[in-house]
Amino acid sequence: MFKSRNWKLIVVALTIIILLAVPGYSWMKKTNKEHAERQRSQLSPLIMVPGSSATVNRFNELVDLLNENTPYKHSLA
Amino acid sequence: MISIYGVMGGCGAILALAVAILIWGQRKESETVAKMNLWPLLFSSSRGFLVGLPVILNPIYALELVLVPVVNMLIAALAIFLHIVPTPVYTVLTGTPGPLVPFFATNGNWPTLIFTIFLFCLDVVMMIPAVKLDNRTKILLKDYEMEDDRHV
Repeated sequence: MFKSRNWKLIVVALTIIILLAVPGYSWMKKTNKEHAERQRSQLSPLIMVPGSSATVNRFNELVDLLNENTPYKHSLA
Repeated sequence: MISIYGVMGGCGAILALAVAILIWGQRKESETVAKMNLWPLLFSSSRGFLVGLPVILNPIYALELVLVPVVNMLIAALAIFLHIVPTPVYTVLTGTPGPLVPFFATNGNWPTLIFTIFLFCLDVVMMIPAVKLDNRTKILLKDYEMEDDRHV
């Protein structure tokens, strides 16, 4: 096993892989961050509630309840 | 799972087979083929090796080629289930070196890299019986041919 002539080749391959992995690592981090940025929207989600007999004040209680525990405040449009 | 842990170098665990041949192989031809194809295999191009050795339709390597990726995937699934490594979700470029794929697919998670290197070493160890069998087959075949010549 240790007499094999090919150890030098394997070690060289390993070194080159590690050297190439260093720029690859930073590139991978950057790309993944870009993808995450692209997914993040500027607007907070808009919830539409369909209904026929809803008045203007119909969902005020629901919004108040939602706003109690959430970091981002909701409002009625 | 297949594209992340099952495939290390082109298809199956071919890279592990090439490394095993380079270390334990005694046949001149297969060693030369492995030496020439090490670089394509590192960047996930397996055609040269598959046809050159040959690996395709070779009963000596058939069992290992099926078994090793399955074992890889089972161990990886167990590790993910036990929360040792996170699930790989990020996209990886085609041609990323096999052992680095899970590391890049989990956004640079270091336990994953260590786990994958361990997995790769396991693959190489699992490939040893096939390589030894290949060596022995070559010797037996040589003897058989010499005997055949004597009869003629």
